Amino acid sequence: MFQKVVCGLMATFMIMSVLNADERLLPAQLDERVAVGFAGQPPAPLADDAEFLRRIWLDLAGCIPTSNDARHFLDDTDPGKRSRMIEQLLAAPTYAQRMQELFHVVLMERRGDHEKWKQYLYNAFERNKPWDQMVREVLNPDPQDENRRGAAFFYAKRIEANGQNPIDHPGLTRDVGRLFLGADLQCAQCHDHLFIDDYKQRDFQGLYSVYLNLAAKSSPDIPAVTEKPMKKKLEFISVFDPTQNETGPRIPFGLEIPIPEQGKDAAPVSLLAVLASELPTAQNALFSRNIANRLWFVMMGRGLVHPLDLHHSDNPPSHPEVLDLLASEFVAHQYDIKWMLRQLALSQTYQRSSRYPVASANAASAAASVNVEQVRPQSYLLANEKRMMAEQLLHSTLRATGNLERLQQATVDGKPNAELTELTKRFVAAFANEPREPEDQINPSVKGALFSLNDDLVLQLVSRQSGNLIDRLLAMTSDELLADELYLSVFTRRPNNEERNELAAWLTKHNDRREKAIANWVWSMLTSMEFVVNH
Amino acid sequence: MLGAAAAGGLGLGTFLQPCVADELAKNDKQVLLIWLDGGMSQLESWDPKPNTEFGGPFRAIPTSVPGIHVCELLKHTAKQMHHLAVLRSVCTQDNSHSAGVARMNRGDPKNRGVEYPYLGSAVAKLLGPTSSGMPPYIWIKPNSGGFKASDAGFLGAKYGALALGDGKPPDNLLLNKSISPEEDELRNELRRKFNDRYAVGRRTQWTDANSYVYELAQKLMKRDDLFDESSFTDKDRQRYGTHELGRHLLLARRTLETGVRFVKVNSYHWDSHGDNFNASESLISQFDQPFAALIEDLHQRTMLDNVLVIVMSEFGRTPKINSHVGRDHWPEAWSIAMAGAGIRKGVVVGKTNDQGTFVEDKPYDIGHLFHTWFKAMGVPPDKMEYDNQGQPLPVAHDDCGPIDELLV
Amino acid sequence: MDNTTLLSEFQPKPTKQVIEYERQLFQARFSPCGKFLLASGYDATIQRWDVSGSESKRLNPCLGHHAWVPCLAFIPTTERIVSADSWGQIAVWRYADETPSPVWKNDTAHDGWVRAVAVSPDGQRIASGGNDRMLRMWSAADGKLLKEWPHPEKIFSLCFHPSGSSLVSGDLKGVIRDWDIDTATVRRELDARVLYQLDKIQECGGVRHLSFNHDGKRLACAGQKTPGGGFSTGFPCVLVFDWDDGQLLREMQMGKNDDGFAYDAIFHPAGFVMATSCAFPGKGFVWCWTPQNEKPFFESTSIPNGRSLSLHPDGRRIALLVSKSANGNGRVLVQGVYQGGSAQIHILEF
Repeated sequence: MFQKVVCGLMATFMIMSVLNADERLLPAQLDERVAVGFAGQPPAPLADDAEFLRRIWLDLAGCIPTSNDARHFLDDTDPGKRSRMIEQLLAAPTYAQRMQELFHVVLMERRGDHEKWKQYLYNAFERNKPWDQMVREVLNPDPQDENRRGAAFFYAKRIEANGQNPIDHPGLTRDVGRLFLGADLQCAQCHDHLFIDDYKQRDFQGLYSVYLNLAAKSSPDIPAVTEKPMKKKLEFISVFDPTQNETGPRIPFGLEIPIPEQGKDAAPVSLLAVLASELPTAQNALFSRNIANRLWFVMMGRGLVHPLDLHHSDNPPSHPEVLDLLASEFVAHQYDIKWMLRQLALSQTYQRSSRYPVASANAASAAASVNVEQVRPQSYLLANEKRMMAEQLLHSTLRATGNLERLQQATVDGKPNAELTELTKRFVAAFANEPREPEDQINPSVKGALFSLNDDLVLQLVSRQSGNLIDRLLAMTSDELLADELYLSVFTRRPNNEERNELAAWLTKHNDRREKAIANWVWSMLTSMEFVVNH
Repeated sequence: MLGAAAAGGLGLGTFLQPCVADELAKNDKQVLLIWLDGGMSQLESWDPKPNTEFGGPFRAIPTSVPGIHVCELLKHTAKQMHHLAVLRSVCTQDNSHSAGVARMNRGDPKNRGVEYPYLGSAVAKLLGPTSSGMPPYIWIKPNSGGFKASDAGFLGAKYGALALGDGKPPDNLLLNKSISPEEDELRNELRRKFNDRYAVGRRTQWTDANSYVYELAQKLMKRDDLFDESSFTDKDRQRYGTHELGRHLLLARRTLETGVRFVKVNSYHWDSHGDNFNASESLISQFDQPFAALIEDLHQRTMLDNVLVIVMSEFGRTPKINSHVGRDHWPEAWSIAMAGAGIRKGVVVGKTNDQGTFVEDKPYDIGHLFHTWFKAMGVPPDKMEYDNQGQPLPVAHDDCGPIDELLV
Repeated sequence: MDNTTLLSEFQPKPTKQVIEYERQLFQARFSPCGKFLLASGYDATIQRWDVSGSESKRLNPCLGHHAWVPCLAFIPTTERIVSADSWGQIAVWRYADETPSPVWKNDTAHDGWVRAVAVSPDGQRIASGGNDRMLRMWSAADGKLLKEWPHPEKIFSLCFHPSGSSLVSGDLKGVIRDWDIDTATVRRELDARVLYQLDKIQECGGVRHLSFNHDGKRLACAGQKTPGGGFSTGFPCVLVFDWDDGQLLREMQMGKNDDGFAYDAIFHPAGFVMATSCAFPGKGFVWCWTPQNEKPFFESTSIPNGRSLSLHPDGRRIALLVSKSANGNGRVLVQGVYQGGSAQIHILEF
């Protein structure tokens, strides 16, 4: 509809349109391109089954597996069991649940939630809706379509009235740039960006001119926005240069869009519709590069472009060929998120261990000689440890302690279990970031530590209740079985001999108060790094 | 709740024993940063220009240091001037809040593609906790508290601020009653053992951070008496005032006494674009009274030799008085006050012109002040660099150095 | 009178006459004889113009104040005016002299900022008050202190009832007090608390101006409704009370909640109130309103940032003082020079 100019930033990324001639499977191609950056350093070996299993469950199901699932997988001798597990998790209902939670945090950054938005995201991932379609629906929400109108929450929450504060149209403009194009235009609001030559004030102002006409119009049940027709161009001046400028609507880094003529009788032309049709397109390189980079980050723990919202020519990707390939393949596969996650999960880069083997006299290897402290996260020589979202940590804590099923049972009137609601609230308060801060790194805090140390509900989870972990462990006939069940339940692995001995000694020492002793051991596991980090 | 618990045998007020203060006095450097958010007018405070075009309605008054005058709104502080140093030639870069707050707090290092830490996080990293083991960075602020990791920038969350919302203790501060102290020690011992095992073969960054926050949390749990407002004397309350900043500065005194390395106290809503002079009367008096009391107390407790006190904002206010009788944002020529550790006493450094519009001699930016403060705190020159995963980063702006006239 | 009739007779129209002054001013008032226009300034002066001819003529100013001169009041039956400054000085001047000098002055009349002076209808006494929370009564003739008593709050405004029986004070907190001068006691309080607010940590607002109508049956007070800090966010607002029963007759609110203060409100002998305010940004109102009617019969935004209004004794001319000092962050230089604010006095006519 509107011809685009290939300006500086676009030109940088035109390489992506070259067709992928390599016929090998994508994961192998990715691994090869990542390996180019190893520069002679040996990578960590592949993760063992237990490490892989915990990781893939957390990434695709948002929760650790049960001890039984873990036992089955570890005992399974089929060499194809990892890809089968990936398929199984991508097909499970927990996939949509996990993606809903993940994308809610990515897109809303803890601003608050809405039942309709939840439903919208859940349905989208359940049906594996292509990313470009989702973005179109978010950028131009349809209030008439019951299945899609929850998408309006993205806009509506950001521009809702907040006391005496002005409506945050600049914030919305910034977020659309950040989250869908990977370009944080904030500092280009008042002048061309000082440090990033690619970001111009007109790019911010052009998008902003569209959003200035947007108002929140939510009812308590339904998020919604209304759009006023744009009458004239937006005037702006740089704080450094008093020359008066103006711009009409603009997709950042694209051409200005003529202001639509509003016919007297015809329905008004929606600029949101124009935005929705022009921004999430194959021609818009930043659009596909942003999402490819973000999905890579979800799986690998470090963006190829990092920070995730600073795609520009002075902040190139750590592995340009990997990002080029991912972005073009993602477009070629119609923005299929499930497909993309599968490809990433199948790669060795994903399945690598998060630790190097320790040097020992009889197991000297090249990998053991690496100084792990010197290994930078963007090398992907080992799997990066990833933050657990508050939701992942809660689900996993509940599953580990054998309380998940009890709490997931809805009460009679169909409302969620009150204890679960309260736990969710407290976990989010303790472990989530402040609103508007992306959750892109591990974030231990005194607040979280005090919560884990002293919160009533947390401690209740490790006290005996019918059928929960403590209850099961107390019923075990041998310490050997107990240790297995305990470690499989919490750490998704079997204990090593040292751990078995330690546990046995602990139980013997505290034999007079066995329940409390087990509870404390479980608590210590739950609060340890092995549990609170996705490794 | 806390009062009862504290009285129940957790050592109410023990930290107030003079011997503790004496111990601190001999030991570590500490910092108190008072941040007046929105921008306090220099003309109505540290750099009055009475009866000049932009001078406003107020008088200048003499201080305890002959020859130095401040605005009459600082009537209590004027009596403590012999402890203070005022830099009147501050000239910074930003006239917007968003850029100014960030840059003043980060010390304006050159852009190196990383987010620099705020001063409190920087000090927490460079000097760590004091010998008290208390969390090194506590932020007393209005409204909500929590843990503010964003102050830490690239240093990582563990150097963030523990924020006490309206001086209230953080949630979950008290040991859960179902756990005995002995049990608590045992379970944490196990946790540490599990972490040590986990760390083998891995980068230690996150495990270290995790251990660190648990240590701080446990330390803090033992000092819940910190938050017991009822243990302040009526006289203290009267001297500091019962308004927000008064209460928070009184709590800051106690927080310093317990050995917290860096205490930040924020006061908001100083952005007097309209009706600046009535606003200044209302606001500056709320600063003046408790600030003067605090300086006096720190001095009397012989803590002032070790505690660096800083008063600043993101910028000053325009000399020009706008049509709303307000003053707007002015980074060109304004004042920052300081006192204590390593800082000269009873001096004014720098000068603005007769109109107060621009700096007359050498202008100083926040980069110079960060160098000055790090030096005052005794940060050794070889520690003036961070290691960001192999990337060396200077802790303060490369092109600036300390302002010697401010230093002892 | 209905608004249409009022507008047909009393629509203030700009004239070509605009008096410029290079610094900002607080109040511009016509002298009772109508020959002079006097204005007190941010620059410790009282400026004078001869406005008897078709062109105004600038005269020598009254010099001798220390800082801001926020208030002045004419002393009836004499060619004298009283003024006060923010350093506590009160002075009485012979304003018709070629080079006016003080008849008397007292530079320690108050501790600090004097915010209001008022002259009794018989011209014998001057009342003053300000930040030091003292009400003082002076002999207009020689400056002798006649009486003083403490006031519970900072005094922002003062006026005498036309009968001379009451002194009325307005304070920071929006309380208007009717003082029995003989006993120095409060007869009653009128409630203008909507003009005050503790906004977060800042005390905002206050009764900024008080004036009676000619027969003393109405009292107008000017300020800001629900005032806030920062940009001084509130509605410009004038309250009109029935003096006899102390009831609020009309709350005359203009603009939006971030517009700022109504600084002045005066009664026209025909019974309506004229008021002026600033507004944000670079705007402002002049409005005319009769308390009997719900809406103003005239409102104008064409001359921004009004500070005071004065009605000429001829009943036709109005002096509208405005401030010209744009808001703006940071350094704005004109030919290398940092710019302060200035003032204009627009002469309007019915």
